[in-house]
Amino acid sequence: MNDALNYVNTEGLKFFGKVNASISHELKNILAIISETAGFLNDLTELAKQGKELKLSLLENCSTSIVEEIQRGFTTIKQMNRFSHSVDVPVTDIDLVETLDLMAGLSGFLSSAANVSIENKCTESKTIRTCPFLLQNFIYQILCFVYESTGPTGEIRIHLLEEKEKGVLLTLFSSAQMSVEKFPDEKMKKTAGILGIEFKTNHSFYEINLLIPYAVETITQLDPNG
Amino acid sequence: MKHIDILIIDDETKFADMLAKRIELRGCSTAVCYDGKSALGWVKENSDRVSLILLDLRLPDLYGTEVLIGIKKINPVIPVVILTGHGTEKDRKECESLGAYRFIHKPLNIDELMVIFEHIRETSAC
Repeated sequence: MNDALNYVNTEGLKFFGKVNASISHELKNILAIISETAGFLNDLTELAKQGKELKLSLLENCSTSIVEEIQRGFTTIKQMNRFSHSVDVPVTDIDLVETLDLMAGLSGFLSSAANVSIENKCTESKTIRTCPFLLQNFIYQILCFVYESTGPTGEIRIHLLEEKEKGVLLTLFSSAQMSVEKFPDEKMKKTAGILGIEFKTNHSFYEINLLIPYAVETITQLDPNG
Repeated sequence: MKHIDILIIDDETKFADMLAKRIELRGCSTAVCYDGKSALGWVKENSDRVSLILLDLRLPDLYGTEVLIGIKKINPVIPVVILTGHGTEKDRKECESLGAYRFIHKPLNIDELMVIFEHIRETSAC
């Protein structure tokens, strides 16, 4: 097994486990809210049986809350499904905005996660030929790094701009000052190396710039059929 | 200043608010904090007027165990019940060694919580 493939397998398994753990936590939280809301409805029913007036607004609030949580559950399961299928093929064409959106959603289950918004300035949908699972792992690492600075009350803006023939320039703007001396760490460098991602040197305390290539030769190492 | 029967510390705001409503329907007063730092601030200000603290282990800014240590430093006699979605046996042992009163899992059985609260109220009244 080549080095790159070995790395994807070992680090990938850790990443897969981490994301699955956060998804299970999210689903348990959703069920806990539904459980408490159902319990509250039971409490209200018992009070009504004792002759206490039942406020319709309370019932309405409960049903709204249950519907919202079920919707949150469906969204989580949809994200979980997309993430699980990202290991189906080692190398394929992916939509970068969709991948960013998925990673913002999945990393959003972390208790330290900030609010992430994505602004696509590319003229058309940007398809990247890459290892989808490893790219997800890389984006997740970067987001987690920025969350360390922002905390849950912070904001991250991700800006995409095409650099002709080269790839997509991804800029992450953080609302809080980042510890740039720790960036990029060895794991980020190694992942970026396999994916052909270039760290632009103009990163600052509030901004990270990455060039994601449309395709890279080294990625074929990850495809046994490539 | 009003006495608070149960302080709920949980970052899942909807869960915490709904639990507070259910506890209040049972005649107890509540307060809610959604993160570790504000919880420690609240306890510092109000440690002599709260009977029980319900603490989630997973908070956005601090580990639940850090909050537990902080609470015990402020007032070692306040009973702290750990309420967790994913706590392991190792977590339970760690929390108990740090002075947690009980370690219970989500989904919460509110009757179980009220039994714990009544027991605390009775023993502290003795």
